[in-house]
Amino acid sequence: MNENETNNYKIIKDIPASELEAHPELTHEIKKKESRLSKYMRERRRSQIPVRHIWLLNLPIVTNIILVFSIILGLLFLYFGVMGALTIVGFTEQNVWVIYDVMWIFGWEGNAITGFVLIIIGVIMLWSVPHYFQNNVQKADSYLVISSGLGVLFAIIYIFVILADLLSWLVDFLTTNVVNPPDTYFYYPVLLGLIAAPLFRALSVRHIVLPPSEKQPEDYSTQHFKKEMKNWRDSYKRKHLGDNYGRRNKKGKHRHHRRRKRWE
Amino acid sequence: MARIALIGNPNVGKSVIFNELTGLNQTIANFPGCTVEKKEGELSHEDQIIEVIDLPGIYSLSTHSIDEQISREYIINDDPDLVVVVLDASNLERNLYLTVQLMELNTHLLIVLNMMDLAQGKGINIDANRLSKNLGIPVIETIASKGIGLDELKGKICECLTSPNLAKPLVWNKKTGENIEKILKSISPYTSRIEKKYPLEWVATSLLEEDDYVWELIENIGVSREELGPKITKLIEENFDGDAIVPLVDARYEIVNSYMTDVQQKYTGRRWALSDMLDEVLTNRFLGIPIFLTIMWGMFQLTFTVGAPLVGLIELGFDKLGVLVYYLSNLLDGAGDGFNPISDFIVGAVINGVGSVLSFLPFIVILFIAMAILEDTGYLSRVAYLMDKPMSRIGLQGQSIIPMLLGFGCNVPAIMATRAIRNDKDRKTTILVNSFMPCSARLPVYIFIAGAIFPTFAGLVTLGLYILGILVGILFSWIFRKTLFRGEKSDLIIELQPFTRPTPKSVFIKMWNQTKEFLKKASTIILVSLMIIYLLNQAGIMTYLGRGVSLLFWWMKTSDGSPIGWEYGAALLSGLVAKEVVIGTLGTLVGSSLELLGPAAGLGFLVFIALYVPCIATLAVIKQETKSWKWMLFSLMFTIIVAYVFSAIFYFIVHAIVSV
Repeated sequence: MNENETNNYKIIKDIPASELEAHPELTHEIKKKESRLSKYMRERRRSQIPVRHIWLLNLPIVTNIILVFSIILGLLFLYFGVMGALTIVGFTEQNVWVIYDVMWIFGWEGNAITGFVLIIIGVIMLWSVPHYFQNNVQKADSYLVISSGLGVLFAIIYIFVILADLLSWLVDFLTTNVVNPPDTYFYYPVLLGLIAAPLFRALSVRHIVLPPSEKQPEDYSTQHFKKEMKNWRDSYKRKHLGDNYGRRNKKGKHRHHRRRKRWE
Repeated sequence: MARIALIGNPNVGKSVIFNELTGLNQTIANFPGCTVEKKEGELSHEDQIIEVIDLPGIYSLSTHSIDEQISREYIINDDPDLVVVVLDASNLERNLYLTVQLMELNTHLLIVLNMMDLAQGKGINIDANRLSKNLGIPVIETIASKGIGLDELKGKICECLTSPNLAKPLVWNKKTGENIEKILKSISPYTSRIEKKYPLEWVATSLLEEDDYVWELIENIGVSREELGPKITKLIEENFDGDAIVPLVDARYEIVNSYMTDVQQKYTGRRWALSDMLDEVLTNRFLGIPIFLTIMWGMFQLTFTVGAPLVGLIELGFDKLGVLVYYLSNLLDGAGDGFNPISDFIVGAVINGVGSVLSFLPFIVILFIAMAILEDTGYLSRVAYLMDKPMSRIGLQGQSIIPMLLGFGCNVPAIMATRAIRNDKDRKTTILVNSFMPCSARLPVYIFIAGAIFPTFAGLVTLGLYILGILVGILFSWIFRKTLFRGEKSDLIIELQPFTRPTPKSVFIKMWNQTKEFLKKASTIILVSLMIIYLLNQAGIMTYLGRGVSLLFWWMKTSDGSPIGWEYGAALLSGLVAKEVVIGTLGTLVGSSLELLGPAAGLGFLVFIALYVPCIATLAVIKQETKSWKWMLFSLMFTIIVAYVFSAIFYFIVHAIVSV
């Protein structure tokens, strides 16, 4: 590192030698103090995720992975949601389904209304799937970021619920000397939220708006934000519809339509 | 002492800057219309003391609502030494419109470009130096919510006060400029009189806009409207086809565009920012309302479950305190008979009464924190936008949604927030139905009663009561708009600011302000009320009063088939003072036998509490805002009748279900 960069001044070279002899302090000019705002902006930029990661998360392959995640997670939320909601009619008490006994650790009791919440989250997650297939990646990401965010929110709420349970137990123990442990330490909304958390993070990072100075790294194509997507779905269509699928002629019409017509 | 005024569009962070400058804790939120009256504070910087005025947000000086009038009248009549114009950097062009109008007034201006981080998040780069050069006004960049740039702002304020500078003169387009000249000629006989009080060019443009307020101002200094009015009307007819407002707006935007030259660079590209993505879903017509209900449910779940053990701890503390009081009393009494009216009074009225109210503090604090987070993120304005469409379909006004949502906190500021509503009929409707909005004072009552009678479904019952309050509010605003306040409905104009991450400081300030109010209420009005109730009970008077009220509920039977006791009537009566007193009264008079009320009577009782008039303070603010005793008394009687009817409906439905 240059020595001058470490100090808070820079050397001024164009001062007459006679002046410098008389006033040697003129050789140094104290730098203007950096404003807090620009310092904040610089630090914020530094604390942000590396640009490379943002571009990486925008690769079409990541979109496909997210799509798979959205289907799996959506179904998981729906499953647990329905199971939780069914407890409202007393299935756990009536021992109708053994599954409730087997999976007691999830804490079905007290999650009846949360079941409906999980159903809503699951529906929003699955709502994104058709948008992915229609290449509306932005919209699809929007639904997924909300649903995974809600999942994380409810996980946090239930972590507080677990802490409150433990506190209640402690209060009971201190006042009555009766050991009455909490029902469960593993509420399934917490587990689902933990699975949804990386997805939420990836989606929010994926949509950070970068200034133009942050150039796109080579080979980091973000074609899926264009109308004509180039991913496995398009590859599939291209394979079946011909190489010109998605390409347009000079008049702006899709080439493959014309080619298919010619075959007919 | 020098005076500065903070002005700007709604929701640009004026109050945040005001708090940072003055060290005060004025309530702030990420939705427009949070400040509806001017607030004053003092800024001390480098041995200077400056008076700071925070004004309600306005989009332009051509005002329509009460809060907007407050801002305009202050700027025009009080003539502050410096006007600090706070602009939202992420929405600069629209914000500069007001700046242009302020430049017409020839006031000393200082521009604050706030929310620079949001602008960056939206992919906008702003060259503040260039903007300052274009306007001829100093410009300071800030991120007030994070306390960035405020030291520079303080320094600049002092600098501007010692060496004030005026903005560059406005350059109007040819047509507008010519017409302003013509008006200036028309008013030339009065020039000397007007010039002493108001800038001539501003008066001329305002007369072109046919602004009644400006007519009023100049009539007060002896300008004859009879003489000048027809001339100006003729000029508008000839040059603007009878309406100069729109051409003037266009002319101002032309000026704004000239100021924007080389100032802003956008780089959003094809990718959506996170805030846009959230808006896409949260305002979705199918998913928006389920998501809102989900978030509300989460809020209540958090409040109940996390608050419960803390409430238990506080109750335990008050129990021990009661025991201690009796112990000390016995100690002092020596070999007495054990009966000590003073210790009975302290334990009965203060510890059991106020203690039962205060023990709900954790619930209230958690609810306040959750509400503050929701407000600060900007979600409430999305809810208002979301609700506008279904509500306007049944003929209701969109403007009243924000005050209705604010009613979740307290009905008093919520009713004051109706000042932002332009249409008087809409405003009165919103004021009258606001009493149905479930304020935070009702929450402990719901938890106290629902927790005792419906221990398994306490959260659900509470959420149901909240929804009931909202639905009844919507129902009656529709009825009022069809009957008492018939007329055109106004549209909702709301700014959906980007979502922001709430800062712990802002959330804490909001929570602390509201908690402080609760504690103040508990130590004054609630304490005094409970003392009076205790004494009236000892004298036997409360029995008569309570019996009188409970007789009105002759049809309401407890689980063992007997009519509800006089204690419940007394509790409802005491609830007129403040809703929390209901808990204190029940705690003192009923104690732990509340569950004997049974589900039908319990729900009927809860529904009555949910819908009848919130408190005396609400009635007082209704009187203040409507300037009429008539509407205050109407609100009192109307809410009691509605509460009675709905209470009966719910009682008989649940009674029928339980009987089956």
